[in-house]
Amino acid sequence: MIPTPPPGASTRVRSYALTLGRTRPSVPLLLETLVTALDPGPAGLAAMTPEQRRIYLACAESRSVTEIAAEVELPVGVVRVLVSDLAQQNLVEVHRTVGSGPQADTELLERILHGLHAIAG
Amino acid sequence: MASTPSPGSGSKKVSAKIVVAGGFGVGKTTLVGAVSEIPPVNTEAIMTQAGADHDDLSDVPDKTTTTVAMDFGRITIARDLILYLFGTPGQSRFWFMWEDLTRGALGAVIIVDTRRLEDSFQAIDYFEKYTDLPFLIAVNRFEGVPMHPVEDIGSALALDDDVPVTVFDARDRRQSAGVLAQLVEYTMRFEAGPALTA
Ligand SMILES: Nc1nc2c(ncn2[C@@H]2O[C@H](COP(=O)(O)OP(=O)(O)OP(=O)(O)O)[C@@H](O)[C@H]2O)c(=O)[nH]1
Ligand SMILES: [Mg+2]
Repeated sequence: MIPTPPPGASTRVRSYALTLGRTRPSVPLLLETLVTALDPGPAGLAAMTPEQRRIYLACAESRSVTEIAAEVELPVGVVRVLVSDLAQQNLVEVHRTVGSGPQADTELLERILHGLHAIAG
Repeated sequence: MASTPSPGSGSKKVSAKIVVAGGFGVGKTTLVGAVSEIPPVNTEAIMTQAGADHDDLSDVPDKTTTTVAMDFGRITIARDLILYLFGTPGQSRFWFMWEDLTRGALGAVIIVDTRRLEDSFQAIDYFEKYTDLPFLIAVNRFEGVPMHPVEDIGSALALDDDVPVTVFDARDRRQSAGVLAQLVEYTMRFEAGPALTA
């Protein structure tokens, strides 16, 4: 696909600066991956960059990567990198996801199915 | 995998995602709004063009971002288990997003309107050709539109015999949840016997 330039000013320089040029998160983070803030300890909040702090606060209650990105108004790709940094410092917990494929957890799929049947009545 | 050791946190959670796809105006937003516990959202997600994890650093200067309106819904199955729904954006200029939308999904619900089946061909092609994900066809029933037998719809769409085809009303919460349940059942069968579906 040929990318269509977005309307208005480019955010590319800003995004690049926020992630210090890193674009590849070291923890896989899907759009639906839940992230939860952990106890920051004594150094905690003060040691975070402003963007990291906003992300940290946005996931005080568990939130998906997409919800965090919407909340802090940063591109999902940038949020992934920043969450990944926070995870490496044990400031947030990155939760598991369940998908399809041979390694999918059948018990979790059963629970999801059960929950949907409960709504479907 | 995607989990960070955090001794003593004791709050393990798991999430999953179902993709809702289909042509223009088939009822994607309606389905997501009908079953989601958060308001019928059309979340503005800011996406980075080109998937974030196959880039190397030298690609950065070429990256641009764009705001994409996509349907986004949430169903809390249990405190520790959340199901998210992602509707695909209609415009083809957002194709770049599909990889992110589909990666890791339980599967996809592809909605069709029998008056214009062809509008959903692109979505079906995408799932057949570019993903290993299970998908089903959900025929959105609009009033006054004669219903064709589901077998006819399956053959009109040139689907494999094992792809489920079901009829529903996207405005109905129960029926929409029922379609999602059918997809999850299919995902489990898909798991159990890939040889049967190959
Ligand atoms: N009568 C009837 N109308 C429906 C049904 N489902 C959706 N609609 C209406 O059809 C129109 C399109 O539905 P949407 O849910 O917006 O479709 P969409 O797939 O999100 O459309 P785009 O995002 O524009 O591609 C809306 O006006 C809905 O109210 C249905 O089952 N029956
Ligand atoms: Mg829509």
